[in-house]
Amino acid sequence: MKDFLKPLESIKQVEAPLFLFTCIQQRIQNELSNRVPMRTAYSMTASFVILLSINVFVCMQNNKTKMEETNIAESFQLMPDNNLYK
Amino acid sequence: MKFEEIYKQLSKLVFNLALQYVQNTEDAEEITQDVFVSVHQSLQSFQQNAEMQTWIYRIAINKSLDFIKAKNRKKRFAFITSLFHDDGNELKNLGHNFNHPGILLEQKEALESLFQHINALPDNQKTALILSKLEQKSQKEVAEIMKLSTKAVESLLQRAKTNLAKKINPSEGK
Repeated sequence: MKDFLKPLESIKQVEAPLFLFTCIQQRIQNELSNRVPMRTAYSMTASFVILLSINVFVCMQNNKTKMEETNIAESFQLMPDNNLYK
Repeated sequence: MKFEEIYKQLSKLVFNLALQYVQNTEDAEEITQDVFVSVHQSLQSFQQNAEMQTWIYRIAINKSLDFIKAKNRKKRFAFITSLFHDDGNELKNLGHNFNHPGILLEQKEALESLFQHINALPDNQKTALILSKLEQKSQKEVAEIMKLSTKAVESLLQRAKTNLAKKINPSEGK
């Protein structure tokens, strides 16, 4: 049963091509030059988080002001919008 | 150990292992490049108590299997694209090109057919067979590389041989 694997024994080991190391070095260099420094990555993330928090804060403040305006209008029995057919 | 020294010591091993998986010089060159770029990136995190050769064997096996999966994915995509576009060149280029420099010309036909069956085996059976029969590793070494027990490797090899026998000689497998 194992005879069918016998041809595998005839396979010879070959040397890796000489130019391969140069290609590998080139690829490593390319990856190093394309890599964004950790400091830049951290500062970009921090800026994004700050921007997002400011946005959320402003949105919440806007909602709060609108609610207050509606409450004042209701207490003076005024229409909060210009819809006459409501 | 310096990266260049590691390359000098282990490039032949990686290139030959990749060749056993893909049986094609160009693909094996690409896998060898991937392996050593990966080695360079993780050399800092490499634990000195683990053996360098075993570690590189694992990287080479994973990269080879990933390469084959990516190539098969590309083939499927090219096939679907070829149904809608008339350009079949891409599909032809992705076809399996048997070009193993370690195989003698008179053995080429027999081994091409044998490798077709080996390539159809599940990944772990194929890896066990390649390490044991082509890389001449002992079952203990195979077990260490594959992070398995010796018994598990023995079972994998047995299943691989049975599956191959069934494919090569359907009457024998029954």
